[in-house]
Amino acid sequence: MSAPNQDIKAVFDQAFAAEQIPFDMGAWNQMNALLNQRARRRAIWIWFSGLALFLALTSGYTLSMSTNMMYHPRTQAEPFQPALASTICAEDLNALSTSIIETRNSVSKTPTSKESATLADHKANSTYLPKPHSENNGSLADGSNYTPSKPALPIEKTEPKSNNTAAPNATATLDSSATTPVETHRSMDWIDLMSILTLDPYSNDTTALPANKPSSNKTPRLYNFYVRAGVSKSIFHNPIWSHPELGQEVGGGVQYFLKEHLLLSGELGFARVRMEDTTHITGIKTYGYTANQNSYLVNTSELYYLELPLMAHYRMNRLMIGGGFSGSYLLGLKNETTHQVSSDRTSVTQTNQGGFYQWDRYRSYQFSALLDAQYQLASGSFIGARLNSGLFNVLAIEQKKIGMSRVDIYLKINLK
Amino acid sequence: MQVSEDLIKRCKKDERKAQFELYKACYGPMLQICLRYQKNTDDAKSVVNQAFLKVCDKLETYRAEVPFEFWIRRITINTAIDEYRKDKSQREHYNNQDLSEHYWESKMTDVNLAEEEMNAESLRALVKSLPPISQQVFNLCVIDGYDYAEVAVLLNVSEATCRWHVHFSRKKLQELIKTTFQTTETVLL
Repeated sequence: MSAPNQDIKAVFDQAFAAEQIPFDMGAWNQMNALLNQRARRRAIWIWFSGLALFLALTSGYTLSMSTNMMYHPRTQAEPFQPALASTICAEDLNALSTSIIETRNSVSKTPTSKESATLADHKANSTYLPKPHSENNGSLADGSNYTPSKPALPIEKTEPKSNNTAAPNATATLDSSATTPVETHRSMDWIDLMSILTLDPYSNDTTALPANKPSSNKTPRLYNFYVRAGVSKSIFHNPIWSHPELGQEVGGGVQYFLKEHLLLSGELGFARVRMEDTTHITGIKTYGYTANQNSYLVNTSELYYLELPLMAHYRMNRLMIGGGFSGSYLLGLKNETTHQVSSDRTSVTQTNQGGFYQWDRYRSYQFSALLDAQYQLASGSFIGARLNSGLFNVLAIEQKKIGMSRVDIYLKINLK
Repeated sequence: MQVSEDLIKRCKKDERKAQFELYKACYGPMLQICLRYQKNTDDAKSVVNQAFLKVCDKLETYRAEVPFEFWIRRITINTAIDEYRKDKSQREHYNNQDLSEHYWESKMTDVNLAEEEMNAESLRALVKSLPPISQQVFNLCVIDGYDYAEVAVLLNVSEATCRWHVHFSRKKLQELIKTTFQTTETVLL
């Protein structure tokens, strides 16, 4: 540093060394609030880490469970036979299906020469030869009982290969009691054939999960219980009220399957809503000859609601979309009050952190409209988003109107 | 600034009482620094709190071989410079500023300290009459003893620009002091 700069520095240093800055208690109050906020952020970070771990473990568990329980009509109707799948090629199946349809359409119960040839070809080309039925007793020759999964199935014939003009585009109905030569070959390959011909509406639905549609073997339960937890972001019509941090919510409920795709649900939840509402109250009180000015700065940062949402959902495979209404009751709120008493000579500031009590400033009951969307992650777990739009004023006072909306992101887990 | 090792240890444990004691000890020196870098007292207090929050956060990394006063001073200056950089409008104001004679005349009228002593507050007022970037360079290079290279990096300007700002600030401060104090103390400058 050059000499002139040193001189200037000496002047400034001398002046600053002589300066005495008094300590400001108000600055410490602000600092104290910042330190509290920092401590809260740490706590939230720990809370979120725990929640993320819980969600990861739960999702992992439910995913592993759902993989084991994945619905598949072929495996559920009959045990899967790898030998059968490998030996029957698509051409064989087409030829066989055509011959079945043609046989059913023909008036004669005896096979024509062409049909006999088709069957003979099929038998010659495929290595799998099913054992013949014993005479119409409903059991297979190897002794196992055969129960047709689809007793009456319509088959729409789109491309007739034969020149038989008796019933070229007719819809044939197969019943188990029909005794045609072709039916003597009906065995487990029939079931495979039927599913490949997309007679079973679920056969190609590889994404279907057990909770997604009713099982043919078992009557589904009409209701189930669930728990729900997530985070929420409150949006106030006046942006000054919005809080940068997220709120939390937990709840549990029951959903009822009204129809195959229509569900009704009711739940009970607890929500912690973040907000910033600062009120300044002042007043002068006289003690003897001294007039003290009382100044209260009340900052409300959290509202606690007990909620009762009622909703209807429409289900489309994994996605559920619904709407409804929610009634909520204000359980309490969190205030931070700074009380300053000042007179001509003294000024005392007192901060009361975290006072939990109900305040008449806010409306006790709320009513809101809900829009909800859920996506099924695994058999029993859903991720969802919910828009909660408040219909009433948050404040109990009429002069000022503040509407509140909330966006929730949550995880829902069905209880078994 | 008297800060014991025991107090620092207690602060590391997040003891609020210890943090209050530390804040009380550091408040004066920190505010003195911030008052030089900020436009007004409220902003300066806000920067002091931000800097102290950083001190609390980084206290785990503090090594005892470095004087605590130096460490805390460094954090405060860095926080003040960060705030300055955030305040883009201030920089834009400087860029569009007309540094004509009329500007200086108005500044000299504002700094009406003819009847005051040459104390810290009056000196700060004089420095604040400089354009913002010149204030920052002058504070960093002359008062806080930073190198030109270091200041160039901090303020994202060239070293030559820093030198020019210091030269310019000195010249203007001399003129201002001559006009305002009208004493022999200007000889020092």
